[in-house]
Amino acid sequence: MTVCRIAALLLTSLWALPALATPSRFVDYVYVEANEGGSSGGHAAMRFGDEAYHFQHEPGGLLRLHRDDWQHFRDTYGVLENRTMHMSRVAVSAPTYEELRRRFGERYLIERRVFEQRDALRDDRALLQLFLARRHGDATAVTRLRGAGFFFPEKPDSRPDDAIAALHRRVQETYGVDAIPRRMDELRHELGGLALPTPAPADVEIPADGYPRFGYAFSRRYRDLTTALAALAVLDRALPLRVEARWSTTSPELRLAPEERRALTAFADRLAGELTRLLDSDRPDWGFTLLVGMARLAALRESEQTGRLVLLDAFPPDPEVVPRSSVRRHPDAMTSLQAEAADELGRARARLVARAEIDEEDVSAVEAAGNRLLELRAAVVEDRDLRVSVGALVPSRDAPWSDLVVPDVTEEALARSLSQVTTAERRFADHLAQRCGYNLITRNCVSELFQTVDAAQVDLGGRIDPTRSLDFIPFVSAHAVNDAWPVAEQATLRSYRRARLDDLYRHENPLRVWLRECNVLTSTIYPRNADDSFFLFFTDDVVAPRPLLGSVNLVAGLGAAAAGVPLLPFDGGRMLVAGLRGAVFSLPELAFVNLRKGSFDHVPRETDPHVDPSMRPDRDVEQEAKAQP
Amino acid sequence: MNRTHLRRRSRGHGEHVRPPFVVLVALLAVVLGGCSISVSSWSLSKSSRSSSHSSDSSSSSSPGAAEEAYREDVSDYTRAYVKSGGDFRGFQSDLARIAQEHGITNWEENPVTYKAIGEGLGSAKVSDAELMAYKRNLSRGDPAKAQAIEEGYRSTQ
Repeated sequence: MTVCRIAALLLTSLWALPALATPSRFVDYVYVEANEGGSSGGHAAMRFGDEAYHFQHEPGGLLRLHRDDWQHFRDTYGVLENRTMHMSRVAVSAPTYEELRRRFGERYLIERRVFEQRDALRDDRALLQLFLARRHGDATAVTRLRGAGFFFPEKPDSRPDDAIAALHRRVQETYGVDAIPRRMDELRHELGGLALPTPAPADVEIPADGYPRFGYAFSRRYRDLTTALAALAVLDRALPLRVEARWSTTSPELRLAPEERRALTAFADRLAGELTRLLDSDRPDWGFTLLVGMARLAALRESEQTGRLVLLDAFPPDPEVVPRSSVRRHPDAMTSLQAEAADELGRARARLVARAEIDEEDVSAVEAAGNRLLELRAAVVEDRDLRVSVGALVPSRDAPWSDLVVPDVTEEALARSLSQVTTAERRFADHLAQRCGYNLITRNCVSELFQTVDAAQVDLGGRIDPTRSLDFIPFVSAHAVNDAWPVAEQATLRSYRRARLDDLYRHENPLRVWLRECNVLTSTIYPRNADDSFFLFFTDDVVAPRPLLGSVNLVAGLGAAAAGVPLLPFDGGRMLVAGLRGAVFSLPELAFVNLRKGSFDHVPRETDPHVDPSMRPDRDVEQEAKAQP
Repeated sequence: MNRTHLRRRSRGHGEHVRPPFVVLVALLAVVLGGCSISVSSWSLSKSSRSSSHSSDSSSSSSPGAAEEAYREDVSDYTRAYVKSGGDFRGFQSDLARIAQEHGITNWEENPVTYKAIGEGLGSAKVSDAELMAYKRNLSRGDPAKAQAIEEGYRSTQ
């Protein structure tokens, strides 16, 4: 009996072995329905867990791989752009998943580096032109240094900062009294002896595959050294933070709880040690880290002393801005964004006391959340443009820098190098256009997703070649994926308006809801968005009456265009263009095809059905995935 | 929410025969434009919420998600860089940029950096001599950093 039991157990274990060896995971192919404008052909993305990779057609005719947080991708395309998404969940083994994710991750990093090289060559040229201007006696020629704006331009007669003075003493105790001036001399010497850029073929050729070997660019090296020099000047003179470089607010909610204060103090103590060690580091970017670190140290010590959270201004030097007029137009949106930002700050502050020892990421989270909140408030109170940034907020305030060390070379050598760099920059732009140029059919957001999957050399059951079929069209590609790959499941994520409509249909009389919501005049879901073309009826949720409603939209668009002609001198042609676009995007509706869906400038999180867990299909599917062996 | 379960079907090239009308409409749609985004880059919601997996991203309020994203990037980068054979200074310079994208300025003091580099070296299948060289150059005598690289490397073997 016991033998039989053991045999049965063994058999069961052997049966389970293949499943244990190849646990299933899911990669999502996401097809995003069309909307008007540049998105009328639809869009596509690959989703790996919390990340979405997608190729976007950018100004300049380039197609570039983007990586977004999935929630952000869904907010942008599904909510603001109001486009329904269709997800095909492809079941793959864990090694296949990892290989695909890594391939997309590598391609993202490679492209990032390629675009950085374009910027580096441009910066090389600008620096050489600056050096030549200096040689010609133009003392007004300056460059800008990231991170220097926290301390420079130096305020005359300012008192030394206590925190930085203490760091100064610590550095002297560690490395000697003359350590700082000695290191500054070394940096000046290194700057003076820098070899001018002479771009080699490896600097302008973009390899077909693999990480590019462009090397450490001249301009990057020059800036790293000059930034280090600026950082040492701050440390040497214990310069105080500039008033404009930090948020000065007396808001009571920034008062620190005793445990928060202790956590920040402990972090500041460790930071002082890390900054001291930086002076002995051989990493090329130590100067920037020292500058930002000293700015943070000064802010943290002030927080410690005053019991109030003192934050650096963490917005980038050239941020995107939402114009003041738009801020004024959307008071409700600004209120709800402030509430969201306040929640975010609360969550970030909770991290300060949740861990035994906080690190840079915890402090950075508080800094970023605080900056977003204070910026939103300041834009409303001061009636000014709103600075925004979708990327990580790293304090990097810049300042004009005129204390330049011109490399010790002849003017002819400078001119020769400038000519070589200019040629290299042009050649690189050509190579970039060849490598990353957008093509409607052969190189678009679909073809590059499949190309990247192909390059991963994994077996997905079938290969999709968009060059030999209509699979390059986003919505056709979704069918191709469903047919060729092991799609375990398909799910549709309704656009924001459609999801809200479904919700209203469940709670109110459907006919009344449709009559109210079918048009832009009485809709309670859609407020008129100036970015949209002129139209009257939504046609994305109806099929049979689409041509009829489309013809009304066509007439309305033409009417708006006609009305826009006399308004030209007053509105700069906005009405005319909106009317003409409205007419153009009504034409497909006559043939039962809907492209235009309307879009939103802002949707508060609480009314976004996509964040309601009960309406998140991925939650259920992910639970299912976790249940897989 | 509309969900369907489909059975997998095999398919060869050229089997996509669609009604001509649908193809015509599809082409019209594509001709009008594609792969761009229509919403203004400065749309309030889009721009006032973070998009990246950096430490300040709203979706990564759990520090684990941000840390995992940073670890994956450093590991992928190390693997790609080592395979291409670039120099060490270039490696550090690009690493600094990647760290900043994740909101980290002092990557040198972040233990995740070293573990992720070890993982990247392991998945690039570098030799023991190369591993030693990276350990020596990056740890600069700090045994904890060298240990983290070693651990990351071993985790991929």
